[in-house]
Amino acid sequence: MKVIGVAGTAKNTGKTTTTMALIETAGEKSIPLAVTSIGLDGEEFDQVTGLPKPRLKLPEGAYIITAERCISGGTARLETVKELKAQTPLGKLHLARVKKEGRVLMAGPNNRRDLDEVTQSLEDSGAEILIVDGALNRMAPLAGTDLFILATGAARTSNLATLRRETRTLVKVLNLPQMVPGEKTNRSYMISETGTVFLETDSLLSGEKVKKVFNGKSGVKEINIKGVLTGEAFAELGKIVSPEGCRIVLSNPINLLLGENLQELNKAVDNWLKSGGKLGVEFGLSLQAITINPFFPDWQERGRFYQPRFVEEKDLKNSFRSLGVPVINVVREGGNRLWGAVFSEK
Amino acid sequence: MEAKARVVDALDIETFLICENEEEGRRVSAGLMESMGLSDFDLVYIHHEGIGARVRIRAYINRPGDRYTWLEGGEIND
Amino acid sequence: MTKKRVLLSPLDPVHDIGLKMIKNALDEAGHDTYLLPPDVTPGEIVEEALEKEAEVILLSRTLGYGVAELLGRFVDLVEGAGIRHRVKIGIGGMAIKPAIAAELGFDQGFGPKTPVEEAVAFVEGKTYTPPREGSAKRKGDLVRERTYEYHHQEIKSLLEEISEKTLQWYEKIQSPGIKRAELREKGLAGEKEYLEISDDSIKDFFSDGILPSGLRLIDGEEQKALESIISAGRVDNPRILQRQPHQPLVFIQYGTGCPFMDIAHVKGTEGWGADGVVHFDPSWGAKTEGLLSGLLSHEENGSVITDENLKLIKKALESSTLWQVRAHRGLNTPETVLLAGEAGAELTKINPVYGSLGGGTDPERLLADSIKAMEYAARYKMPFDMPTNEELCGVPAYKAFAGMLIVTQLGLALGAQPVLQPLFCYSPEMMLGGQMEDNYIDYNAAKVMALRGIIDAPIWAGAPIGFLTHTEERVQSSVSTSFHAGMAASLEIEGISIASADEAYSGGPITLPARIDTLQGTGEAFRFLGSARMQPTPKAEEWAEELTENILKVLKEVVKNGSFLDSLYQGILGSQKEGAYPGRNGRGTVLKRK
Repeated sequence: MKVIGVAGTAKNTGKTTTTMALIETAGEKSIPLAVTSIGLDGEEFDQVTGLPKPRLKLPEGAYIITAERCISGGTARLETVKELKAQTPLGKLHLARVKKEGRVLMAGPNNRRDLDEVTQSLEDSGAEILIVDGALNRMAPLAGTDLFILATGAARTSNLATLRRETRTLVKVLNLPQMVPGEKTNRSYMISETGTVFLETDSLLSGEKVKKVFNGKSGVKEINIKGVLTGEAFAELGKIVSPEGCRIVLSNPINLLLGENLQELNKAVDNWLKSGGKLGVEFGLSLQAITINPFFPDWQERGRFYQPRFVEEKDLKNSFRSLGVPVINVVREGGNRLWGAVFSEK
Repeated sequence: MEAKARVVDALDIETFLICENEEEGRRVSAGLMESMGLSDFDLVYIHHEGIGARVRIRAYINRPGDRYTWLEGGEIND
Repeated sequence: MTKKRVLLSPLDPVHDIGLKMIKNALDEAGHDTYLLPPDVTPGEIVEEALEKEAEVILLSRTLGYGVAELLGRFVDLVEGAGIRHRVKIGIGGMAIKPAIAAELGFDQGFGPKTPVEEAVAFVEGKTYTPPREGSAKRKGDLVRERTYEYHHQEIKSLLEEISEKTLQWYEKIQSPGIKRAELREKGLAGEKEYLEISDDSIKDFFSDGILPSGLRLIDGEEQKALESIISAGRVDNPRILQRQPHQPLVFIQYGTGCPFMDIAHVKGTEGWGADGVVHFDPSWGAKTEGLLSGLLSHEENGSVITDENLKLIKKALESSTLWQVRAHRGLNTPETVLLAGEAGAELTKINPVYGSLGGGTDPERLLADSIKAMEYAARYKMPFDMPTNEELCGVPAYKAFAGMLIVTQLGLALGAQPVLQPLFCYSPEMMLGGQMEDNYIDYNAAKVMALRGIIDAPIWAGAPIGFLTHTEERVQSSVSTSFHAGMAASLEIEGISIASADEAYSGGPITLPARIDTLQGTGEAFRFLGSARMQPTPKAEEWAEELTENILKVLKEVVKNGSFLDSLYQGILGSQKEGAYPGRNGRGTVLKRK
């Protein structure tokens, strides 16, 4: 079974539309599938913006992993196959099968470990793919998926130049090469002239922390971070540790994207590589496609509500040229094109 | 002068709007005020429950420090 | 219990009082808590969580522009830092609900009214079971623990004598109202026999489909659209106005003319805390022999009583809402109670004394019909209240009360559950007598004290409370209702009917915001008082004694007269001089039973 993660850069970037296109195409190809969400999908109105959401429809026979209180929340008839251990705010997760097609309400595992339980629960189900719909801008639970789709668009920012710059950074990081770490351990460490030292923390979240850990260290050959490395921390690292002849190995690319400032991160990465440093990940992601959506919820301060708006589709598409990844407007170009991109060998 | 020039500061619209949630209520409130030509407004109060929302929408005619419309004088237009 | 390390962080620019309360409760339960200062970044919180090896993180944050993404990034950071599987994360704040927490990737979401105990249970990994009181709204019970025992033996025996004689009279008579109800029971409403004893307007409707003017049949499209609004707008979380068990159930009166608008008003008021709703029918309905049928809309005040209208309204009500259909004053009293019982109403309203002295129906006819109606009320187990609105015509309270007590005993004799309804009002009697010169509390309190001294029966003050104290100005009007509600709570009565803020405005229909105004005011009165009380002056006791004395005198007079019915015509329970005029609708229609 292949696990497909659909992550977004923000709310309303088209994750559910992308997921729906995959479900429909799998149906046309008669491929048995399972679906879940790391957030909440399928409601009529968005919980945060109050704007209408795309509905989620599942065909008969499909598997869904959703919370107890969502089982009877749609028009589809679901039958629980198995109750899982994982808990959500809406009750325990259930592995269920669609008995009669229709709309579903889906709240699934909110973390990576629970997603692993979901994947295991599907072992004997016969499902060939598991689609995991993301939520908001959250990506971390999807770090272990086999095939990765990034949904972005005007909802992230309606300034297309900024959107393009950000997307380039994301692609750069998500496509970081795989590297075999120097040590087999699940703790963060550095290898220097004096040998291997475990770091006092698995995550480097701030410049302050980096100073504390690396000040005075020389001849560093490898830094292996199991947790998060933020842009701010990376920038500081570039100042303290000499990049020449040093490689930084992260557990997965998403752990590099969890800081506040993508631009700062981009600069730090470029500087590191330009100065002869190496950067890679232990477990890579297969970024197969980027889906784009011209819609954005425009916040109206006066009256305090979201107004639905769109950017020009042509401009949006243009700003995504030559990224090295297939860029698809699912609504315009259809599920088959997306399917082709997702399942192509790189 | 327009009759609304005699409003000392603001005009409150107190009503109940049929809507599915508070956000929709906010959008409807905004639409309502725009449609009445009252674009300088605030949603003072909104509470949604069941079939709709109780709202107080306030259109400012004269904010403190403005050149007050009621100082202009003149007769009210028909 | 295992001790937990809990990190609490207000992501807002200011400290959240809710989070501090939770911290206190957690400290008290023996957990280690770390409360971060306001306005720290997600990264700083995670660093702190790593350092303190937190097992639970509780955040508070009001949702707003861009906040969802901020919270999403926080949860991602926890995951990226590799501790997500051993840290539980909860979020609280305005507009937070479990569904939003699921979308954000949190383990639990706490709304603004979450009890501290729920957050503690989350920390300790226990299932939180809310206490019964104050959780989901349940249907109220007006009759509650009242025993209907008399405390005043002399009044008791007088009432029994009057009631017995009246029921003997009832055995021997028949009326068109009683007969139509019996035909309806047999499924013959609208048939030939029924129409023979109905007015022409009813005949025209059933034989030729002609509707009385001002009425319109509602079409199927309208009905479908309404039903979808109702089902989408179920009141998830109706407000509970009462803070203490002694505070009264709150009823609103509806009757816009159109069942659709009624439903909109009812759904609105349910959300804002109404415990019950009272159906008002148009005044011409009381003067017409026979009832119409179908889904009917009416242009003026009062919503037409038909089987279909009542059932549609019932369908729209929340399960916790009490529903009363009034039947107290007209020519269709027994049929109305029958329809109400069939449609699932919990309460009805019957009082032949007010209905004939102040409501325009002939005393003989209404007394006969009311007794039949009480039989139905007993059968459908619908308590009925007895409004004493003849007071508004100028009848002194003690006379109105004497009449109400006779009806009470009639009801009890028939196995029904009567509910006393004194008015909380600034009546003509008060205006002339000056008893309310100083305050509105004493005389209203005296009424309740007098009634409580006579019988242990439920009291539902009406209708609406504060009658004749309201003006067209909404704050004055709402505040007056609010104070009267506070007084009702202080007197520990079972129910109140409240006006809207439009009570004194007669130029057009009442609006829903005006109804919400007074519900808010009533809730605020209950909140303000809690278990404290408004205190009447010693005058109240004095007046209560005077009322009881006078009630006794009136009842003795009725016994002396020998007939309750004749006493109604003779002015013993309210004279023409006082403003009570025996009604003429239906006069001469009561016949001896064959």
